[in-house]
Amino acid sequence: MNTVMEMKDWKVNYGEVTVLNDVNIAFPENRITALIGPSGCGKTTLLKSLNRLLDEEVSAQTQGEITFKDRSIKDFHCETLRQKIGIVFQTPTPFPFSIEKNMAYALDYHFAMDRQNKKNLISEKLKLAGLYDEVKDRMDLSATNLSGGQQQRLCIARSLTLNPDVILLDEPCSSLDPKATAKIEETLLRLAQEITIIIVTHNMAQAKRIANHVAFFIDGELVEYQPTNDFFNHPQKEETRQYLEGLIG
Amino acid sequence: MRQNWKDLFIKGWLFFSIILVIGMSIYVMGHIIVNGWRSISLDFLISSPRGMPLGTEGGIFPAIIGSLALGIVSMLLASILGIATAVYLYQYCTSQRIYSFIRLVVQCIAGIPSIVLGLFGYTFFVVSLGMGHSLLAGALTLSIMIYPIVTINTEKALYEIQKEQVMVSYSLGVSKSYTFFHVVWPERKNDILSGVLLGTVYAMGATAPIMLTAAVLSAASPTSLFRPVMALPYHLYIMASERISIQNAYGTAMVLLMMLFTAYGFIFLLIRERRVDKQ
Repeated sequence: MNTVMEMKDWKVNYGEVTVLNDVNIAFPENRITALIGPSGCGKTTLLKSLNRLLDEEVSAQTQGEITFKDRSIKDFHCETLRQKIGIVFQTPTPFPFSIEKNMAYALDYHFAMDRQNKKNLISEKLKLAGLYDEVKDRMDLSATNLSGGQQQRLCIARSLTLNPDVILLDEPCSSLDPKATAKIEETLLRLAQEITIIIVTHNMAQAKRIANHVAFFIDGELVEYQPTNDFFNHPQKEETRQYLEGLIG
Repeated sequence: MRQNWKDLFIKGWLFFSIILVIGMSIYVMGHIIVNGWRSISLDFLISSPRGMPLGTEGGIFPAIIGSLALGIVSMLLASILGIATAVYLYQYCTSQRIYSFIRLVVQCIAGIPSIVLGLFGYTFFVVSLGMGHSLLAGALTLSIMIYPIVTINTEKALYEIQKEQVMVSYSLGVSKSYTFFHVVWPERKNDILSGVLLGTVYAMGATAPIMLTAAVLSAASPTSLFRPVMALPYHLYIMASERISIQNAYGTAMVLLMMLFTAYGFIFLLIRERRVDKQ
């Protein structure tokens, strides 16, 4: 199993506050890795570190190294890195444009594609995200008129238009009902055949259902990182066991 | 029971304040309209001041055009700098120290008395840079005065956009400038433009900064950036302070007020259009 991304002694501070402390973790290629832990333990900061979105935040100081395909992420131009590592946020964030324009947004910036090729690619990615059949006849509709679950799948499809190697998801189902959540999970399992997925979730059952590996964080430190079965059935650390039993959280 | 009295007192206080403010505004406007409308005629609006002393007869056409020119040129200068500052703070600045420093400078500029700005404009633009009493020197001074208004209003407009939308654009590997023109500007342009217009209205009504830099008692309608101009507030000041013609001073005040109200009308329409869009 190849490693696609790796964090080495990664530390993030916001002023005096340490959010992530000496995190060492390797993410396997074309697998789903779930990051779990209590609120405020640094999971989102970890995601933002991976595609250098943290660079955009005021006062975030970092130390250590992150590699993507064995090259430091600092050696990549930000735009190139973010093309390869997409992110989907907690709240669905479609642009206030039509569905088609949302899908074409990044394509128009990065590539000079003819109309037909663009259309084909958009359809292909919408199919991959499991949204095509629901929107194919109303591509001119404003994306903000879609349901929460559809908006979130559109956001996933939009990041797929750039053919990323990794997709980061920050609690993508936290504002969705169980039916919409099931559709997103189905999409993620399909995508994981070709793409590495790193997902932050508070939903332990979700991690159990879809993840191949689970990493558990407390107060910015990686406590335990194991294959999903071992993590839930044979936790190595006392804190993990307590968290799984609901004694801390 | 005590709580009821308290509530009643607060309600009464609020009601009284609102009535007082609305009443005073209506009185001021009514006073100017009642005293000013008798001066208003086609000749007053389209001719130059005449008579001895100058301004007792004729009209205020060069002053209307002069004020518009000062407003437009200062608006252009202030919006280039003000919008750029706000966009830098919102999209580009990642250091808390630089952010705080720039905010402090902007607030300090906002606190400079307008007559002090006028003095600065006179010594720097008029004398040191050799611009002389001119439309450009006045507009530059006015643009310094309204720069904080444009910056603060633009920044406020930008912060109303969902930060995650901007982050989503960055996360798609899109540059900051493309994000600004394709996500931020279309969403916030009405509010940014209304902030710019608000600054322009403020500039068109200001007297102190142009007294020493641009405005003169009599001049033709502006044809060059390097010539002095007449301006409504300065004309009004001369008419009233020198007791040349109180009647024409009221007429000038009414025209100035109408121009400012028209600009406020545009601001209102811009904001309303955005609200309708959102619904």
